[in-house]
Amino acid sequence: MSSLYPSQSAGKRIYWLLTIEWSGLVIRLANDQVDVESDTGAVYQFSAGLDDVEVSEAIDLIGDSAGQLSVPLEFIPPGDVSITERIALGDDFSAARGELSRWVEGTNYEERRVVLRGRLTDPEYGADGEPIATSLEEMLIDDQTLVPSPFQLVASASWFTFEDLPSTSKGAPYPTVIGKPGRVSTSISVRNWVTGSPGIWVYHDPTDEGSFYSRLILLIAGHHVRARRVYLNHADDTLGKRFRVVNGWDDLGQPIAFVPFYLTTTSDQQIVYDGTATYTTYNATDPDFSPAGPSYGLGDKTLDYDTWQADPERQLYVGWYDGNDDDSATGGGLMMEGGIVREAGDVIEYLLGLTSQTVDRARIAAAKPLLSRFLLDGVITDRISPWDVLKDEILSLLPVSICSGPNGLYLIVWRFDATAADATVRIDADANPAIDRVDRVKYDDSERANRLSLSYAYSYRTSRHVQTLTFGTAADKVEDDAVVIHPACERGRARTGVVAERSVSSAWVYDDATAYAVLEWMAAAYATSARSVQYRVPESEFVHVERGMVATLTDADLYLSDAVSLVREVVTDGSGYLTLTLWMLDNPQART
Amino acid sequence: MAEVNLTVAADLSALRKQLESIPGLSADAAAKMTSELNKSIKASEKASIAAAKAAKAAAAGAGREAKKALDDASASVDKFGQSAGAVGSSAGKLAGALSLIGPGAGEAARSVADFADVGEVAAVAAEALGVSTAGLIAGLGALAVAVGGAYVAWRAVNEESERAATIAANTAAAYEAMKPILDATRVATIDLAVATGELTALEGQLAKNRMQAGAQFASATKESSDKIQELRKQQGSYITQAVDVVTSLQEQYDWIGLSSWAFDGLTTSSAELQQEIDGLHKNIATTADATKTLVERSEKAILAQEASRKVTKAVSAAQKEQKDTTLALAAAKAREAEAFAAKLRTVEEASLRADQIVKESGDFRMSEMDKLAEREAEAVARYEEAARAGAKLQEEIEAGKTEIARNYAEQRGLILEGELATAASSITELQAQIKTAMAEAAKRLKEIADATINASADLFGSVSDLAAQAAEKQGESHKKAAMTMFVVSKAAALAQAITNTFLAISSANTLPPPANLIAMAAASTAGAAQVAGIAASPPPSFNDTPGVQQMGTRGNVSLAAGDYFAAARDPAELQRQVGAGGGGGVSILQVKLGHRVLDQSVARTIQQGGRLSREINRSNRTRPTGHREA
Repeated sequence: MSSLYPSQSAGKRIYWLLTIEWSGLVIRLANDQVDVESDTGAVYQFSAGLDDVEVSEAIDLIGDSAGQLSVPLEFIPPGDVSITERIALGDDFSAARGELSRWVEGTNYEERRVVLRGRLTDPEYGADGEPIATSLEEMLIDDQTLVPSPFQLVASASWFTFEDLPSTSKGAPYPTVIGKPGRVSTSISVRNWVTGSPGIWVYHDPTDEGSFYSRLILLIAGHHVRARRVYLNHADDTLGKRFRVVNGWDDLGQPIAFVPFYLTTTSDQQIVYDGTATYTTYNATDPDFSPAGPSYGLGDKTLDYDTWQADPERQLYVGWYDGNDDDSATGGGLMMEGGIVREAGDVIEYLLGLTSQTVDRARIAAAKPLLSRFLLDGVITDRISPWDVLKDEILSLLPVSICSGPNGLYLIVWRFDATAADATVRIDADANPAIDRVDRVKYDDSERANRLSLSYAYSYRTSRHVQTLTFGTAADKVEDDAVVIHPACERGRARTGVVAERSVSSAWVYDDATAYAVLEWMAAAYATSARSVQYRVPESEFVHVERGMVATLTDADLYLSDAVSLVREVVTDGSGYLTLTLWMLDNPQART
Repeated sequence: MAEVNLTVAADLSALRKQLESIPGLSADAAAKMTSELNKSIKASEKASIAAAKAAKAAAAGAGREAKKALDDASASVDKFGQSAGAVGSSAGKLAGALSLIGPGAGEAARSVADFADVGEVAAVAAEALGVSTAGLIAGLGALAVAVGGAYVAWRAVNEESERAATIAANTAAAYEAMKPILDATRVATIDLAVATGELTALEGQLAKNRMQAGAQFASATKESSDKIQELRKQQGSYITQAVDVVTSLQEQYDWIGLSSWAFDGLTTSSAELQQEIDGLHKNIATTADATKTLVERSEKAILAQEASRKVTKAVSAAQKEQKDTTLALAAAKAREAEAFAAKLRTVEEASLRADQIVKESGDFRMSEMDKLAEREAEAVARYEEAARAGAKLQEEIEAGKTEIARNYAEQRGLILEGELATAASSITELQAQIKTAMAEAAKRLKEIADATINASADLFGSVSDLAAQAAEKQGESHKKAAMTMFVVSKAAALAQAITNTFLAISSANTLPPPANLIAMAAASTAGAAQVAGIAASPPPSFNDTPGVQQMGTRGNVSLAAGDYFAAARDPAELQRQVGAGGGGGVSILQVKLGHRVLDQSVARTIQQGGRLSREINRSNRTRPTGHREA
């Protein structure tokens, strides 16, 4: 992002730079004629011709992605370029890409602050010399990537057994298992698990080998997993049993995880039955797990043949729990860098990485520690845009917004628990005469809620949530003893006396602590009214300010002294001033 | 004659044990049941003893004593027969009952019943065997041996007394005469027992069958019995006695042997007669066995038939019940199907009605839209006419300016020529004229603008009202359609709000002439240009996430408090966005939104995945995003 700091920009002029790349042509424009030197010594000439630009970088609300930023532009191309002629020859100007940035005179080109990169849309042009009107639009929503890939499904190319498979398996996408879907506390299920994902038969030809059945393979993930054991069940045996998990490859060499017919084998064949090898399918005291309990292979003969093995249409379900009392270092699905992907920052980074968008991994890495308390467990079993999963399932759970920066997509974490010590922006209207309040302080009650519920622990088999956590007031607890009394809810209710409910359900939360964390930030964000106020500040001093930053606000007119706020919007209009919209926090520690 | 003591006893311990082994049957109950049987058996014993005494008395053979003894014997036989029948009946009932709960107990009880049945049969056959023989058979076992001794004694005495034989014959004849009465009495007794419920119909039938079997047995063995009597007579005859003597002498004295062949050929000894009698007894016994077997088989067949009948009845009842159940289920299904069909009809009708309402409201909306579009076109035409008038005025102003400049130059020349005062007066007059013309032009422009604003406000107000009306209609039947209309309504409301923000503010003419005139003219021109510029710009999106919307056109506009702009959240923001606040002059900001523009805006909003799009998706979701449909 920007490397501009107040010390660099103080007293210097700041320019808009627009770089357009179009069919091998590079057009450089600025709001004044200027030469910009790069680190390599090259000098880029920017022609005057760019009309004034105004950009508002804002996010409507938390728990969402930023809207698609679109900046209207009007410019006159340099005299040596005839855009009209090129279009007449067949080039399409709507295919052009552009970059808009702020540059402080005296700094190198690489130090500019890129405001927006995207495509130029809705162009309007005329004869040479007439201005061209268009919009520079980021491409966030244009992502059409679908996961898993078209090859990661049960097909004749990926499975030699395809012809004999049931219709429920044919064409089924490989599940993507993130975290430990189904792993719950004993307060939800005494077994410590509910069903979190489906299993897919990829080899179903049960053959009696005397002491066991061979040729039974159940695919449970389209990638390698950390789990070595999982629990399976079905509609007629909901208690379920523990089975071995093997990481292997399908016929296309794609990594998969599956439950085989054996528990142990001397063969190096993972899927195909080896008549010369020795197999076991049951161990009453599986020694690798504590407390030791029975583990099975799918071909074990003590299983009820009719319900477990005979019917290829029988849907088996997976609970991602390995039976360990302490499974903090075992079990789970997708792995990244040696550990499972489960913390919210990791999950978002993984899903963003599946899109065609550039991801600003450095900024995401910086945001990850703030999201480490949220553990997400879920499964993707359909071919779908990862962006849709993020929007519908993930972002609504977290105090984050996804934004598109010059280096790619990144996260903004809204810190509702921030204190003055966390502030990186200091706005003092008393001390700095260049800072002016633009308007009055406003209340916004549109999103208020003082009784918050989260339904979680989604059972894949029954398609319903097993547990609901509710934060509310003492009055709520009288009606429902399960309600957790929260101070923010009490405060919000006491002010208005109105019961305002907000219910969220998620198929990506199974962990109790995460459920509490989700409602905790929601209570901080929504329980009391939001107040916002706008200040106009000199761009040269506040050029580093970005959305989501923690700020302190001092303004004697409002009786505020170092009041903790969040920067919600930054408007750059080229006037030398920025307009900041501040969201004033209402938690006790934010008061001074 | 030897004294005979009779005892009748049956070993009931086995039966009692079997009874006690039956779950739920206490030892006391078992004891009571066996005790009841024992009583019956004791009654048999008494009857046997009476019979023996009668035999003894008969053997004594004296006048009235003999007759009384025979009467007593007859009564005893009858009494025994009843007792034996009671034993058989009780034991038989018990056996039937016990067989249901314990085959062992049933068998044990049934052996007692057999025991009694034999006694009854024997009693029925008494006329053939003689009173004492009835007592013999009734006693069975040890009793039979004892009575057998009594019979031998009786026979010995009888041989000595022809009268005794006569008495026996008379006794038999008397019994024969009594037999129909006894049979009738027994049949009546059985019928009474059946009528009172002591016996079931089946048990009564079985008892009658046994009686019939006894009669058949008597009939079948009558010839043998008669023969036995005949043979016994022969045994008592003098010839036989003589043969016996001769035979005895033959054995003792060898010399007679030469002539013994003559006796052998003509007569038969009592021993040989006895052999024949024994043979006949054996036949009777065989017949008795055969009869017993027949009776048993017959009873088993009847019982099996009865059991079969019960089973058939039970099956028939079950089938009826099943049939009733099936009919009831079928009726319930039929009612359910009928109710479902009724619901379907209701739903279909509601759906059709909803579609009709949606269509009507859509048609209504579109027709009104077209009308409003026409009104809008008229307003635009009026506006354009006003604009042309404004342009004409502008031309006049320009001409006036030129005239002013020319006059000014002229006046300047006149001043130079010493005619300054006159010229200044002319200039002032001209300035006043121009100012008046400008004021009129501004006034007309404002009127035109107001008219346009009012027309637009009416337009969007109507659109909003219509949309809300349509949404309300559709909301009753079609949620999705209502959602769409809500969007239209929202967009229309926003557009109306935009229209309401159009303000024309005339700033004070603070500049000295002629600069003020030039500035005013420039402001008017800029205002007209801005109207055109904004109207031509792409329609605003109603994606409610700021940042999407950018207002790039700037102008000298300020806003009244309370108004707002689509992308801006308040007047100040709009003012800032459009660059208002600097300089004076008149500026008009106008945005025109037709229904096509609104449709595009809504489509784009949904396409861009704004909150509206997400809310629609969320309400339509049936499963978590990313989960495959099962």
